[in-house]
Amino acid sequence: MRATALEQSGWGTPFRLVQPRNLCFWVYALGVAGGVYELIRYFGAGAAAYGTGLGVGVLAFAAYTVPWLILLAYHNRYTRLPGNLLLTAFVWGGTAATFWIALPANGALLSLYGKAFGQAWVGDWGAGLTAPINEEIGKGLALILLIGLAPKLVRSPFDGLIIGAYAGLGFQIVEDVLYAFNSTIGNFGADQAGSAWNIFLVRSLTGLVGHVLFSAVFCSGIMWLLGRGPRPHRLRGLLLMLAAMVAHGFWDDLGALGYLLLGDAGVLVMMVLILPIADLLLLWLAFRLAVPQEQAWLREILAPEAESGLLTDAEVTAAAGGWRTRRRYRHAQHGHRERQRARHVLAAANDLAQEIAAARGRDSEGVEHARREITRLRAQASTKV
Amino acid sequence: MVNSYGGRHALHDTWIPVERRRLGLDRRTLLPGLVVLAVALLLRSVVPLIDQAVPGDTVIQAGQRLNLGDGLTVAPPAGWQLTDGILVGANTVQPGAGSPTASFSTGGVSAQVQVATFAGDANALLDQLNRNAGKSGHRQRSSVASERTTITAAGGVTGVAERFASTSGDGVLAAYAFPDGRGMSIEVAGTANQLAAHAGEIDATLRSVTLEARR
Repeated sequence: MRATALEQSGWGTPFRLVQPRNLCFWVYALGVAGGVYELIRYFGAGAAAYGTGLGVGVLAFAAYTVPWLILLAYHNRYTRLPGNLLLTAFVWGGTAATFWIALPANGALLSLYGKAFGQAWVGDWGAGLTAPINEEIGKGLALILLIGLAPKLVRSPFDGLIIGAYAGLGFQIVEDVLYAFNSTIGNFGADQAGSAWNIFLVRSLTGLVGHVLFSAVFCSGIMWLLGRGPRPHRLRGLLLMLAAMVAHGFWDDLGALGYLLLGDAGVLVMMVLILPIADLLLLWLAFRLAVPQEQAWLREILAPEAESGLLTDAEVTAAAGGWRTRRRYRHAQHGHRERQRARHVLAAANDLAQEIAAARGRDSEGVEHARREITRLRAQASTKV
Repeated sequence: MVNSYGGRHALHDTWIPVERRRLGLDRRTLLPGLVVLAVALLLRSVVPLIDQAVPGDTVIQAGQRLNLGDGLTVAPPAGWQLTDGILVGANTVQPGAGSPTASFSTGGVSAQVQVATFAGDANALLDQLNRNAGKSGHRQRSSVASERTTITAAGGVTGVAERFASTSGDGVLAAYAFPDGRGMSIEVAGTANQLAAHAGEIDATLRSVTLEARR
């Protein structure tokens, strides 16, 4: 059971980006190099004139990245993906997906729409029928490349969800800086710090339900579509991908949709109420569909520890569960000290699972140390009581 | 790097047997790699090529004006192609909605309009635009730039304009400031000959700026 779970999840397999015999590595290198080249050309041309706006944008959004990384790292649990793999997704999202793909593709598609339907139509509907196609696909390509680079590691819709979130974060941060830069230019380069700061305020709030969310849903859908879930659910995958694109499109056509729905107040109602709720429900659904497989793998990896008596069945279930399951387990303990002990033991059980995965199921020194830690935490609790 | 775990060598996992290679690459990686390459090239190269091949930007008719928002309008030259911007009376979801940017062009001459809040008069805005251009390096002003002239437009709107000449092309840069706290720049660029051929139309556009009080 443990060996099967380790094999299926690929947990513990190291990730290496540089693989000269892997075509995905060369395509990745081409996309990132092309993206970085375009990025430098774009910002470099105006850096001297609009440097203050650009600098404020870079600093503000770099700081904004930190809480996002903490949040995403928390959700990268169960059969955890390695940091260098997630960095690979983030870099693709921030360079290739933005400047190599989305920037030329969005401009061309908007121009084609203008020729077909006129500029007024483009003003109302163009963005929402352009960005979701070019940008969701552009970010989703990171996942396809990572499947080619690490087929053993990228195995479940939950992996897709996490990788999508990181690619989306890279895209979002670079796009935010681009908005700050463009706004500075649009405001004639006067009050550059103010222009960039206004963009930061708006984009950091609306970004809570933005690229990270759309890509997480879209990429979990790709995994279902490719049959990389526990059972084939291709239609589910397709629907999740479409839902992510529709959610993205609604944000980009907020002005026209809001006005059609409720007139002048519609934009605000859509922005602060309808779209955030709908998007969070969509993320919740994608999450609920993806997470059981990961939890089952983690349970199976820890199950032998319950058979040997190191952990109880309840502890294994809680350690492999979501935050509600863990909280329920902690609250079932009597007294503050026991609850604290339960929290420590659960964390130590997750450490043990990580060590078991790193040792590919064998009893390494790290595994033995993690087991001794659990025993120590129990003994510490009982001596203090 | 060979890193050892559990008595096995990671190298064995990444070693590609010769019979699995094509052109030195792992055959199993060709499909995902080619799919990504094809999709990326379709989006970033093929779609722009289609766009370039498709004619059909809106041709501006005589009497049409661009809605730049909140009562501000300008009349672009008839016969030029509209590549960005919303015409007065266009069928927008929100009736009367305008756009703070516009661009229109004809045979080698292109015009860009930008509206934004600006605290200062038209002269200050033109100074600001010149500073930006000088720092950007894409338009190094030469000494043949004209004296600053005043534009008196319909309805009492006044602006200032300068001609510029650079290594990459010549042009006219105009700036306006409005009582509602907005400023507007209109930059027309092209070669000296093309600009001369369209000088009358450009001048008429710069003098067509109006700001109507919102009802």
